Amino acid sequence: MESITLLSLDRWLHFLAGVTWIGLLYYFNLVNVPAMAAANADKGGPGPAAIGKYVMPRALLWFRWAAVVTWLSGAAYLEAAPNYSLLGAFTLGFGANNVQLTTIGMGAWLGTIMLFNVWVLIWPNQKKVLGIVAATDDEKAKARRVAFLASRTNTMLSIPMLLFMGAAAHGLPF
Amino acid sequence: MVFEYNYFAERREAPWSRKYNRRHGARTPNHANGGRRMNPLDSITGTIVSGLVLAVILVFVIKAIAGI
Repeated sequence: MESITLLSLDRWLHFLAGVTWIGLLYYFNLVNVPAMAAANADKGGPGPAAIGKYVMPRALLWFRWAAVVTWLSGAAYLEAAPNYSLLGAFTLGFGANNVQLTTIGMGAWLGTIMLFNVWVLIWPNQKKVLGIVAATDDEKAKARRVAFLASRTNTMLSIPMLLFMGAAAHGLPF
Repeated sequence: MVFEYNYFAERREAPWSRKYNRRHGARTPNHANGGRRMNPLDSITGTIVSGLVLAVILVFVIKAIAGI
């Protein structure tokens, strides 16, 4: 198989994993957070326990591993693609006068910060919230806030990140 | 009668400020102060607006680095 075909497959994998990751991130922020609030407020309703027990562990499993696959396939693409380099991207193309390299590098940095947030802030704190690891009520309340803000931060960062991932090949908007 | 300004009076802080809460011993997150949300990430709208503002700033950063 020619290397260009492998490169295309890697890029395809990057897109698929990225859609899975960011799609679940938007699900958490646009659907799950307000749904949990509504379930807590609905005193006569079934409550949020089922979401926490059956939905969240599965969603978080796909979420955190899709993030890893997205990052690894993206890094492999940057290293193998003829017009990019991993080092050049992560040094933001300083001195290269190559706007494509700087743009994809900015996207790569935002994606890397988001991966850090997933594995260092969101997942360890969600384990406390969901009862996967033992925690007091105070620890759970703090963990819920940290995980929430990290998730919202990733949603915010995804907006410029997606712009730059596309703009590297198709141009900046202004 | 000569008006005298009281230089030693304690400055009044707004009751929703974090400084006011520290002085009065209330360690509350700023989103809990009478419903005043001071972190834009507490709302979806604030999150999206923050992301758009960050995107515009970073476009200029990219242009500056790339020299265009």
